[in-house]
Amino acid sequence: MTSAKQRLVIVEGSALHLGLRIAGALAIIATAFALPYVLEPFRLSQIAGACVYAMAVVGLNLLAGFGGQISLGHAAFFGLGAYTTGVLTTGYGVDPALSFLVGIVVCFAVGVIVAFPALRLRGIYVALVTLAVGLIFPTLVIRFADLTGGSTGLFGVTYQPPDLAYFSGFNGRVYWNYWLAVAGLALACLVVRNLMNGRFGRSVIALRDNETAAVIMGVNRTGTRVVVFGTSASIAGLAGSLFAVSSGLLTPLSFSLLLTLYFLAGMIIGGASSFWGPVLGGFLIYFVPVWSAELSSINGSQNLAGVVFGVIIILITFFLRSGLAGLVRTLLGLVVRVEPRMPVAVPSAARASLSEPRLTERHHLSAPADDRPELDRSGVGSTDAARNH
Amino acid sequence: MSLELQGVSAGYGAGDVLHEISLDVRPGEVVVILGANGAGKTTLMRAVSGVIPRRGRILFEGKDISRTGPEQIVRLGLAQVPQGRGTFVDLTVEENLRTGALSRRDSARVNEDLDRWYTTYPRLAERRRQKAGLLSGGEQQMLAVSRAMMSRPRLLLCDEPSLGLSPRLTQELFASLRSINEEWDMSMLIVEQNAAIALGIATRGYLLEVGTIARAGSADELSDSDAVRAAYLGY
Amino acid sequence: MKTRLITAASGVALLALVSACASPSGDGNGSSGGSGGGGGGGNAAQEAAEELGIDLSKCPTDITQPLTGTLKIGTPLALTGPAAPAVAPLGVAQQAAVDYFNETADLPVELELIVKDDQFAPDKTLAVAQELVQSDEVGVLNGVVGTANVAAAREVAQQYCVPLIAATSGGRSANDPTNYPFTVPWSLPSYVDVSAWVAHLEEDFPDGAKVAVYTANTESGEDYLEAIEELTEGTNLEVVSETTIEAADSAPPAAQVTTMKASGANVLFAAPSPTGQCSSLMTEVANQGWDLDAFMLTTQCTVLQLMEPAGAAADGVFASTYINDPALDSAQDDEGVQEYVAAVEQYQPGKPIVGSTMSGFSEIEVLVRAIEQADGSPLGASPLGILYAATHMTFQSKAMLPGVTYSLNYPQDQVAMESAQLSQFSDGQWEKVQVFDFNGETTGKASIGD
Repeated sequence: MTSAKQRLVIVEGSALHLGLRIAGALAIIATAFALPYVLEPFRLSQIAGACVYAMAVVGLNLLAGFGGQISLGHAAFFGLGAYTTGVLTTGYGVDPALSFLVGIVVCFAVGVIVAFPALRLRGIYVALVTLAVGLIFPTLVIRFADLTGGSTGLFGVTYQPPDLAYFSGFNGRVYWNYWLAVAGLALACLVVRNLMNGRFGRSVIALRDNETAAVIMGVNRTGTRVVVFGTSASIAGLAGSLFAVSSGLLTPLSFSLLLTLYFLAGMIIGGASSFWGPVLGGFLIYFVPVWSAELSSINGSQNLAGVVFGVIIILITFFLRSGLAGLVRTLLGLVVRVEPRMPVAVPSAARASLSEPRLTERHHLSAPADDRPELDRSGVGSTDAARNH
Repeated sequence: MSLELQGVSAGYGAGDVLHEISLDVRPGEVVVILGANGAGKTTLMRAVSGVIPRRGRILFEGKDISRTGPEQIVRLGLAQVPQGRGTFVDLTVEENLRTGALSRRDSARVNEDLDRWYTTYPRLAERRRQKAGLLSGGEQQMLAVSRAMMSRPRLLLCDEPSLGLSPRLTQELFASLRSINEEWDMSMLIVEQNAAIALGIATRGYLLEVGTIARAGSADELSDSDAVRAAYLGY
Repeated sequence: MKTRLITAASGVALLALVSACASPSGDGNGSSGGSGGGGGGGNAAQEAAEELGIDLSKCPTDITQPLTGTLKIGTPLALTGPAAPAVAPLGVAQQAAVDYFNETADLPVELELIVKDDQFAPDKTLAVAQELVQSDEVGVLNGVVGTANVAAAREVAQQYCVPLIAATSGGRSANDPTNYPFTVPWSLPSYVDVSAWVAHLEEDFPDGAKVAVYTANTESGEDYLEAIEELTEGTNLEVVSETTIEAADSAPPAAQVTTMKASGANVLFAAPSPTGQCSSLMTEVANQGWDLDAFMLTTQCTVLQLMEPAGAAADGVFASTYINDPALDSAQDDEGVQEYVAAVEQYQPGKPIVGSTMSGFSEIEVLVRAIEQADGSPLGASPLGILYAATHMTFQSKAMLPGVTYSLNYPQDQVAMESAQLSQFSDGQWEKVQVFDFNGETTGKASIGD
């Protein structure tokens, strides 16, 4: 560890801190505006595709990262949104924007319905309930072929750009889809951020960390889980709707279990329960196959994407539990330190307290599991003797 | 009466762990429940806080809460320091404390209370922005107590607070609980294996054996009892 | 709190800016005015475009200018993923064909093939096609496989006015020249396949027959089912049982065969998914002792590797074939097959020489013939000229069976493959029964026509 003196110390909430955050936000916005002028249209379409994937990962992260409940059905929510938009716009002439809203509502509702059995279940059983949803969805799409186009697919899903000079050129639709995807991703990030910063977010994490203790503290388990599940599903659904208008065609195979696994991989690689890690992860799961495809040729192709994901996930599991977001945080931490503001009244004269014997040497970096309290070996003595009769 | 149990039975599906328990806690009292592993102490705590289904009558300040859900019970003014501290390891210290105040809507007074507990335990103030999982066992126990107190309860349940603490930290913890009892006039129901130290701050106590109350009496009476001595005090 | 406000405010600012900003120029494609129209063909070009239903002013480049130098050919193909083993060898055959025709044909341009991986996923086909057109600047797209994949790629072909020649799909929906004039499908349509079955059975069973139908629950299977229902109507072939199988199902179709057998059918129309389900059906029919009078199998199963696992159970099965197969005894003296084998051995040594890849060879061959024909036409070898030639051309591919032709004449004839050789399987070989030619009859049935 470098000592604090060698690092740039920024006090939280100071002008510098605020300035840097604004600069960061402006840099992202500037990049978003610059890309259409810099990139070829197909690259811009790829960025839009990556934003859509990133949205779904951000949504999944709310449920699986922050909420701690693994979903193996997110491709189904993604697909549900996509087909809601696809069917409503091509079959019934509904305005795409309205179909987005319908998709959000439908996915929220389905998410809540799935959440109810999952509420009473834990760990692997939640995964199984959602797995069932993920497996059923493509089959349902094929069964309701009259509506969905079945395995042939649903073609011609588009969202005409608004009548603005910016979108009037030859590549207007590319720009429009790009901005839709960027706006969608921004919206998803804001929703998750606002949800997680505050009382509700604390409840979500408390439930994940220690369900019993959280309930004892007064966390509304049912309400919290239902909102998390529903919101996560509707973010995935909106991502699916945007996928529908940008790709233009939907086939049930696009929403298989494999896609869910990609979303999960993106979340883990980017950094589960971080705010922008999943965005990074979403871009990776989109672009790694693109890069590996660019390396493939008719003479000897391997599925490099699979290998790359496998290696990254193994590396992350062993060395980088908090994913790329954690890595960046650690690297930044070597240079910059953000100093928290202290409470207004910092007590100077402490009262009789447990803290005085310095306990810092015994800090556990791996958090002790709550149900298995660490035993203080140094304290083996009369108390233990008494305890053991 | 702060808390009154009348013929409470509870368990985990396979069969009852508690059989027709009756006990009470009067306002301002510290009542300790002694018992060996498996006697049903934690089950008793869970039955009171509403985490598990239970039969019989549980009256909190005269109101029957035996059908009430846990989050409602917190709002009524009954808080718990769970066994193993129940730290939310990925939340910061301050967020943990705020979780304790989840049932409250008076945010200004919540902030006042935060400062009060930071003053009581300065170590928590120093580490307020750190993940609570990084705290030591002793610090986590302070956190658990102050978190429970953040809900401004009128009855505090403590489930094995000494578990995993060194003898010295255990001493300090109980000293701290006693001062909370005195300063806030806080009623307390403490489940504890360490009989000696628990009886030291208790007004009265119950001896729980295989899910039934084997003995009841004042702290002094229990300390003097041969059975308690032999089983829990080790002399 | 502050940061949240800032983020929200920036979001609003961002959207406001979008609406206010002028259009990015986008590498010269910004103006919709169009530079087309004035090229080499002049009036001929205008007429050709009108006939095909193309608005030259909407094209980002002038597609009437004859091509020179190198013509890049782009193919989105599954090089990885589950479909890769079946599909990727097509790319090998395409490459061999490109090298072969560069050497042997008299072309005004040098051909260069760029194959990019789409993993058989339609959304990736779209992305790859965009990349091929925008970044690699291919002048022609060739040989996209699968109905949904064709549906994706044709959007790009349409927008950028890049001909998509030999789009490989038998599905009716893939053949929509009115809305997608830049896309020219190539494959034996399921409608033509079924037409051959029905024509043959009507001759063989003047007193009628009871038909059981077995189709995969896929786009192709649905297409077959539709064609079967339409074509048997009004004939004395009565459909008495319809069963389906999921595309991914690899278990023997015992239940389906039992059902169909119990219906009393004496003829079977089968369009299972070609990956693994061809032989399992034939074996199951034999195992249950279902004594059929005629067993008609989709052309997608006719590749010898797919027939072999069925062993003796495959004997007597009928199917329409159109692509030749180097493994057939009858192909040993065929000049076209010999050229194909020589080309693969020379330019892609060590690569398997199988029937299924011959279509990859033929896909390039269609393009080559179109370039030749365009070069000698008033339109010249421009993208428009090549497209016009490809849609107004009759020829016998080296890879096709004798008597089977590629024949298009827009707008009257919109289906390239309307002839098929009905063959019967015997001793590990397909034996010719009869060639059926429906030339000019299936437009609007195997295509979305007017």
